[in-house]
Amino acid sequence: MDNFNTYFHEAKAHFIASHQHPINVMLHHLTVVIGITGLFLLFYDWRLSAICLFLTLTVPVSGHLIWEKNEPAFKKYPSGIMILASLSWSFENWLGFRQLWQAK
Amino acid sequence: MYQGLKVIDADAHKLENPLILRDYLEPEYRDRLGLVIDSLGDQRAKVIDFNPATGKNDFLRMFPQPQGLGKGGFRNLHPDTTLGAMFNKVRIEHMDQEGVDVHTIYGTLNLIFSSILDKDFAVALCKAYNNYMADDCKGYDNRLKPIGVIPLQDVEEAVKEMYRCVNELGMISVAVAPNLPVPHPAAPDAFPEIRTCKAISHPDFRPILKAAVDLNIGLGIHGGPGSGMVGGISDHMETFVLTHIFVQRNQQQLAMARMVFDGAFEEFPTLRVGFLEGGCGWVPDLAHAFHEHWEKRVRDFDPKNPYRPSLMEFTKLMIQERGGQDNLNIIGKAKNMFDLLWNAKHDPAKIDDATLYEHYNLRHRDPLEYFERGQIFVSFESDDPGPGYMHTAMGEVGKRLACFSGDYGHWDGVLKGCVKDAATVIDYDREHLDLLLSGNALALYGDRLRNSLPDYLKQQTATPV
Repeated sequence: MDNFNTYFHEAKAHFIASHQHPINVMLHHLTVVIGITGLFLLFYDWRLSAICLFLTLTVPVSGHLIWEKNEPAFKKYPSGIMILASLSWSFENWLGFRQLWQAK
Repeated sequence: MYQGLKVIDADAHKLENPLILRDYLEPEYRDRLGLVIDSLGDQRAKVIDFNPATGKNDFLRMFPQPQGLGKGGFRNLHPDTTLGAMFNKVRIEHMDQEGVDVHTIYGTLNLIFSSILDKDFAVALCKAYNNYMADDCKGYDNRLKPIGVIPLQDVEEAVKEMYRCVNELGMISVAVAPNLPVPHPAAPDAFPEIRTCKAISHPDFRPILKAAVDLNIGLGIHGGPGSGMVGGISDHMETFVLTHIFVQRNQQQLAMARMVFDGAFEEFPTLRVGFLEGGCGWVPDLAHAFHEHWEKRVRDFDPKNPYRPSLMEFTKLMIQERGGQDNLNIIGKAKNMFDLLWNAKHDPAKIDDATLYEHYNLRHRDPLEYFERGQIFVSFESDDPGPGYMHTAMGEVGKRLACFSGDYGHWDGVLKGCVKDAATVIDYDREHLDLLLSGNALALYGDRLRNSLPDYLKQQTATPV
């Protein structure tokens, strides 16, 4: 468990460090919102969930390609740990509202 | 001989008899050299030198320097060897007693000649010393080899004197100081108390190095305490003990490093130099430092492409180490610092400055090659453990660098048992011991020594069994 914690914190630090451009940061928060929404949409229309899934892949990648100009974090760490890291990061920052508040 | 092996003392000394040296000095200079008793009852050489402050020859100097930082020795006369260092009859008796076949003889007072400010006086002193020693060492079955001395203050005269020493006086080599003291650019009026130096490798001295090559002599570099030469750590020591612990090796280390990195050995690939009286145990360490700095800062160094850490990696590590609730602040600070330190305005790729390429002309040559190809020699004294581990640290070349020296005539030399002690520091194999006792000295001084050995040594095979 200690090993997992260490690994998780390292992955999360990498995630935070590789997401510095404000637009990319907001796109990643948006991705989290889309992902959660997609989960709920499974109970309504699976096709909308599929669209959400597509967006959870393309929105953050475009943030890296266009704004951040670096590699997505999952290139260095397996995507599973990065999903956990991104959720943890996003919730800590109140889905981005905290950062907006601090940026003021 | 020691168990059938030749023994050559590569750095013995003369104590110049002041009554005789003055006779060899041109009359106009005789009153400017004498002896004086200092306040502690010690004998010093008195030199009336040029005074930069008055522009006249009224600067009374005492050598070795009696007081102050980097002070010279006191109570320096060795009870066993002082008379032998003055009178060759006694010297030869001691050589026979200890089994030393040949003395290559450097001076004592002459070690300060390159610190004299009046260059004409320095030239005159060198000529007087050389004439004195040439006469003094004649005969004795070729066992005494005086080493001439030359003035760094006047390179043209120094080169002439080199040719005269070798071609007219029959000497096998000449000695030079490791450096010439010069005014420190930040305090020119405080010279000679505050000084820097021109090392023997300085471009001004290259004619001397060229002459050594042309004459096929092994140049002997010899420093000394309390001489006014730059002496590294010793210049900051207020006791003679501390000064002397550092002075010889620091002067030789400085000279060796500059000879290597100023490209002197590169320019003259057949030049042979003996860095004398500084010991040898430090050579593996210094040679390693030469190699390491050449490798990392000359050969592989690219000043136009310096390392720039990844901002992301830096921030990640900062967050790991200092993060928590302050990640946004960390990211901002890190970005600001990176923007300050690495920006387009100071793009290293666009900065073109020759000083960034230090020793660039040596990038093709590992300094260790100068040791390998027999350009660098050092000396060791009888109780020095250094030769016992040089080959362990440097490989086979470590056997071919150190020359035996009894330091005959000086307070720290050893007379009784000097050869036996040197030969038994460790259990040397015979070939290695032969190199230490004579082979390396022969390699340093070359044919001029080899061809003028006493007849009984010439007849000997190179490595007797």
